[in-house]
Amino acid sequence: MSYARRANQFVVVAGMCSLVAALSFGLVSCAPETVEAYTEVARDPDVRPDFFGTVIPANIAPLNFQVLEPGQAYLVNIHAGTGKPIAVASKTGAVRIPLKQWRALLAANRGQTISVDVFVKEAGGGWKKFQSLTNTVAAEDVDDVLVFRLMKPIYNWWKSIGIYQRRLADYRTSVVLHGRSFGEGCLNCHSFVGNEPETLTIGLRSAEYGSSTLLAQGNTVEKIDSKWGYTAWHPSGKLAVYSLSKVRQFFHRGGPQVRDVVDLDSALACYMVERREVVCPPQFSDKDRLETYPTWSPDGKYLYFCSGPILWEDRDTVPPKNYEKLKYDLCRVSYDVATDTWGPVETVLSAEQTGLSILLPRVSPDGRFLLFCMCQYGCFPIYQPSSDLYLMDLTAGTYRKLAINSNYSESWHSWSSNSRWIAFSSKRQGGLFTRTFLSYVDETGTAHKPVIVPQEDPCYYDALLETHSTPELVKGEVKAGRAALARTARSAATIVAEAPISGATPKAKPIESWQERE
Amino acid sequence: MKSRQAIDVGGHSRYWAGQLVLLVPAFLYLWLGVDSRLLYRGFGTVLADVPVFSSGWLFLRQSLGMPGGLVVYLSGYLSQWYHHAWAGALIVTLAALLVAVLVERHFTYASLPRTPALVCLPAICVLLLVAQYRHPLGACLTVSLGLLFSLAFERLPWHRASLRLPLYCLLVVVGYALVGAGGVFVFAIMTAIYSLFVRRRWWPSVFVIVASVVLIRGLSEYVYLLPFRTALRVATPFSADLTAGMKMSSRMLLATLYAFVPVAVAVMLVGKMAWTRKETRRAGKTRDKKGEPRSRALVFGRRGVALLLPVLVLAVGLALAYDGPRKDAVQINACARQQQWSRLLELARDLPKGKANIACNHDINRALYHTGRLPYEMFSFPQNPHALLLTRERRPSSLTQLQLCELFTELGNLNTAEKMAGELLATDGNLALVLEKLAWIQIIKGQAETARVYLNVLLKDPIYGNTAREMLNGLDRGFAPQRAAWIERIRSCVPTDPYGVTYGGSVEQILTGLLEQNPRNRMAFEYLMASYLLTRQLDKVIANLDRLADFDYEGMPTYFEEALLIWRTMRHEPIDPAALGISLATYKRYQSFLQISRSLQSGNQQATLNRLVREFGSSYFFYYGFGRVGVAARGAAGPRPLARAE
Repeated sequence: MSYARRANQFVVVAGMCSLVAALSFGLVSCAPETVEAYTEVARDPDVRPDFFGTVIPANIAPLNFQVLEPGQAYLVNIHAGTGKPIAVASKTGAVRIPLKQWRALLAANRGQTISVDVFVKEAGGGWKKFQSLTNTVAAEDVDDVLVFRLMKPIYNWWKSIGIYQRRLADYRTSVVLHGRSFGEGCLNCHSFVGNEPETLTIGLRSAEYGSSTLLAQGNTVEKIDSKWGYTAWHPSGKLAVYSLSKVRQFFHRGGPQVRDVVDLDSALACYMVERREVVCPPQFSDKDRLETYPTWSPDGKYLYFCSGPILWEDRDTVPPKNYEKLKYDLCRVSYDVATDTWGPVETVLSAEQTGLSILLPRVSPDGRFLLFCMCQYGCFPIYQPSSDLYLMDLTAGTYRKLAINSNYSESWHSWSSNSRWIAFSSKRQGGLFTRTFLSYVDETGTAHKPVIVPQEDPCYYDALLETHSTPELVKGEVKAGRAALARTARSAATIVAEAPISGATPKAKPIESWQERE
Repeated sequence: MKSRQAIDVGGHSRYWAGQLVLLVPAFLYLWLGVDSRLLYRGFGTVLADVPVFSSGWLFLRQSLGMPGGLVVYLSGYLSQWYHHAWAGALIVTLAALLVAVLVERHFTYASLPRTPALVCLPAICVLLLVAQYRHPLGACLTVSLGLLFSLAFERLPWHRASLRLPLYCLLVVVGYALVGAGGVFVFAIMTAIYSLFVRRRWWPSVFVIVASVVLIRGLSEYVYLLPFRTALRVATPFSADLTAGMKMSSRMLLATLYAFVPVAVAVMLVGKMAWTRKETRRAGKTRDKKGEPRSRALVFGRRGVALLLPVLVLAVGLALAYDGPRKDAVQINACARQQQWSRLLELARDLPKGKANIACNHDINRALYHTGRLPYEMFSFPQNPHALLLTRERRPSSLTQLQLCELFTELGNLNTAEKMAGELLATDGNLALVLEKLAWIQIIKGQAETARVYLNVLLKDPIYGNTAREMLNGLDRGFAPQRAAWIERIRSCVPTDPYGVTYGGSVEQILTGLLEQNPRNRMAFEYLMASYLLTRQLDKVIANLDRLADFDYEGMPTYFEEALLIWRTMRHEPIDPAALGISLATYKRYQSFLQISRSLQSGNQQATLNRLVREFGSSYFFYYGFGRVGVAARGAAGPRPLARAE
């Protein structure tokens, strides 16, 4: 190559670098850090997502948002009692807050209020300032990681389902296990021991590799030869109670919700980790009832679950007769882990009292509250627009509907390890796509206005065709490696733990491989 | 030296002339004959391939996160241009040219004769696949990039194995990420061949093959988390994604595209080595004879033949590979997806009458309904009772799901339509056509916020972006009166019972259910009657004639009249056309039909049958009597074979 040509190339590259530097400088220098002259607008600015007027954790990622007010330029000032204010300028209204400054500001203002001032430059060149948006920074952090399932709304067929983990302090998301790792299989019901990421179970179903459950304990991953449904680990980690369901999906001809699910038969089974065997105590495997959604009290002394009567004789017809009349009660049974003995079944709250079907109980780690949802009928709240969240004070025995509900389904909630935060699924953005929301629950049991899990792109949810479902808050990232999980999902089962045949064993015909539910 | 250069220049000119002679007619044929718009409309429907593309970093990042991501992204982007016939033709032609150029480069590198017919063979495979309404763009790019990697590697200035082999491994890792296993195997095999036959070293040949497999294994296990078998098939002719729905001839063409260069180069290099050895031996024994000078005419003649041979091969290939029924299906599908009902019926009238395709027939019936001709002309086309609501397949194909989604939307069976479209989206990716359907369904259901999510995704589609903008405008400011009326009409037909379960599988249950919801659902009524006519349930046809009062027909539609006449005759009931509301013309035709039919018992039966086909083939009298349609082609003089569905 001649020197002249090299020199030309150098000139071109240097010129481009200068142009980029000049443009960057120009953009930065154009963006004002403060606006001195403006007119005040006596209302809140229109922003999306709505992150404001509530309590946020100090360890949450920047709440990037989009200003929807028309304008030529935008300036957002975020400030609080202490710490350096943050100024974000934008040409489009997309507000992306710098991570380090955000973290520092929130850390310096625990228990205090932060304010967000939104300035919009009008066509005429003048600026207007809207009323300040405010948030309270909670003293208590939310757990570091959210584990959730990501997939499109599915009916009979699917292709891509994955369980992911998201660090809440930033936006880093990584796959825990994806269906493509085992023949585009289905995976669900991920469950942990408390909020610890050490132990994890995931139910798998694959036409190629069969139905099974992955059991990860630390870095060791094993495969159990049967698929577990909803799973609740005893706080000791010595046993896990899971549901066995003969589930059928069907579809509604009218109404907003197309899909519905019924358990033609169900029971709970218990896997004893050390003995590697499954037992079915009669307390929660009554042949005339449908038991599901197990959950433990944090002291491990009670197993809560939902139980409803089987209202149909014919266990082949889908949906069965009176499916819309089925309502579940909230029950519990005591357990002594030292002697491995179960007590009698107690009804904590009956459907007769509430007039609704009680589902998905989850006790707060401090043992004070029991969060559950109630809907008009059946066992699957995510497909029921009527499903709302309720909170029971276990010390007083009273319950109330939370103010954070919407006209659409709220369900699949999870407590943070400090009992101050809940993550839950909601379809409030249109009724079809499930999104995960976080809400602060104070000592009195009041749940504050929920915020959607923030994303780096403020418009992320506006064009997201996937649902974020079954959120679980855990203290750290899943310990088991993703390669090990994927490899074990394809391998032969190492734990053979068949449920004993008993009167409680579901009697409906096995489900077809394509039957699935969200 | 000067004369050598002149010869090279001459060779290049001939080479490019050869390419032009092949590719210019190929471009014109693809543009004017094949029409890539039909392919575009067929993506995800008659073509199993769904080359999804979305503008923005997110889609790019997602694509590059999978093996072969670059090819998926590029082919997805370029396929959007199929929406314009000229652009589609140009893209395919350039893709074919790219393969041809790379083949030529490999032949040159291996010092092999660059016979135009051989050099152009993979390009011809690409053109033939497109002419068969397949979509080999991804495969073409994969092979091209594999060949390009191989050329780049061979031209490296370093010759030490200690440098070349680690670099090879790096290229395999990058290659697998960008072009998938298909491209890597082309690269690996070419490298092995050159090492063995050009450098005469066997162990690097073995190394590159083994290293490629081992690296893919490692990448699948730790990076892409894929089963090894799946990882090995990515972007190869063994991948189900690439060959779904292909006939054997198309699969052979695809296999040739991948295997041609490695096989041809290996075979020719072996042949060359054997020939050189033989010649050396012979040279030792006999004196070399000088060849006789060739005449100029002979040289030009040979060059001319060499130039025209690829065109000839392509022409013969096109003649042999022509798939008329597939073209009909693709054309009908494109018209139906764009709701060009009159054009669809024009095409349908020219379809071969001896055969019918249920998917086409379904679209024809829909076109007949939309043009108001269903109860008047449905037996002018081949019929099959399964075609109405596509009831044959247990697990619907993508095409069936889309067709049913459209039909159920129009019928008001909206939740089932949503289910069909939702399943397509979950299994086939974000196909723009499906996103649009889902957005309309949500708009009709009054779920504007959900509709916006679909439309925001659709905004990023290069072709459907404007449609999305218009629909978002409609949501903000209201839809045009015609569209608003359409939305309201469908809303009036949508079942409202939230506890009601989707209608059972039978056509009758679905359509009667919809009529219960809205007795003025004209489409449901006409499809119900069509279903009864097709299954020859005259009692039910007659029982539903009272519903005519709910609609504004000008008199009783022809096929209902014909069914009523047959029914009364069978029950030996008197026929008073005026009292029954039957036109005199229909009544006279019926008498004539009966008269001719009676003569079937005696005389020349074939001649009588031919006459019935000619005069009554498109009547319900004929369908009821013979269980099939007896239509003659438009303007045909003689009788045509009876039409029976496949």
